[in-house]
Amino acid sequence: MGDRTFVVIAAYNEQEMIGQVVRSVVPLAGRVVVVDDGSGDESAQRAFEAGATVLSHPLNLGQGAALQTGIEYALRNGAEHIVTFDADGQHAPSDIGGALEALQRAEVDVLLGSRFLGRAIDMPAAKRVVLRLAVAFTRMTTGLKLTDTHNGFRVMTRSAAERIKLRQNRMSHASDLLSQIAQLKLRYAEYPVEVRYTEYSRRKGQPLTAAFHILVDSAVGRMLK
Amino acid sequence: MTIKIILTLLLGTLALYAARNMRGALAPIALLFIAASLVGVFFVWNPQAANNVAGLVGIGRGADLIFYFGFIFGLFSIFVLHLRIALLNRQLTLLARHIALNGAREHPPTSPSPPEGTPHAPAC
Repeated sequence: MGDRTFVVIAAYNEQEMIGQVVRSVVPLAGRVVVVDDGSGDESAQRAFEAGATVLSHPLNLGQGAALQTGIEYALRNGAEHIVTFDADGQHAPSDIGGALEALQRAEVDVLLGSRFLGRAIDMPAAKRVVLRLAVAFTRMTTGLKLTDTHNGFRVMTRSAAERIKLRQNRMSHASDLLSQIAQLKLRYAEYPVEVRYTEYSRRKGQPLTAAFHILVDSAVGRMLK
Repeated sequence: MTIKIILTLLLGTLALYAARNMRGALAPIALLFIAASLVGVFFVWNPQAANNVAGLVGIGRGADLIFYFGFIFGLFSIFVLHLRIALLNRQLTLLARHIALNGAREHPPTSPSPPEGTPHAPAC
């Protein structure tokens, strides 16, 4: 971990939590970059006051687009390692240090957080089922043997971030990322992380019907490649 | 007779609109719309011709033939529009990203503290 570690957080109407999340991460990273994805609230200001560099999309494009914007900013500013982290406080900041060390020790390009190897606290049963189905689907379509496919906690090296281009603007970016890891033959490993489901994160999270939209977006995205 | 005139005017307007927009990547689509409109006008004034063509492909009535083709054409149009919107969305994304990157409100880099706790081993 060092000054050239950038933590990228995509935020959309997260004024309730973003300040707290940024403050918890600032001491652990060289730079915290919050991409405010066209929020209609005070998310950008609160993230800035908490110590983040803030980039603002003039309109809401989706989490995938926001992460790609943050990753491009990090690359332009000399990032060696990029961590993606959720804005709703689901992830544990204490996982960042260990994940960075694990990435270097395992000599991989991308480290993917797994709540199923780590801890999923208060996870709704229906969410667990959908995530398990997503794991099976990913294994079928990409061949990647993972235990968790839609976890926002990831660490990547500079060279991996330069090669990966998230083209799916919305939640399908998680599947898009995994497809690219497979296509680009990047070295990857999973890392046990803690994901805590709070009343707030459930309210902000994706409805289960999002799985259908992800499938449609992925199909259209492949046609446009 | 009145409905024939109304349909001709509608289809003619569609053909004219497509002709005015026959540029660049949209040209093949515009051409398709013009052709479909002209065929439509022909069948409006020659319904027997529609019956004959329908008979050739094993459909009972000309009206059914037009309905089937209209349905397929409608679906195709929705599909093309969907792809077009997705393409525009990509361009919009690049524009928004450019604006965001140029307007960054920067905080100076911080010096991170050492990691807390014992690191976990990666699980491949």
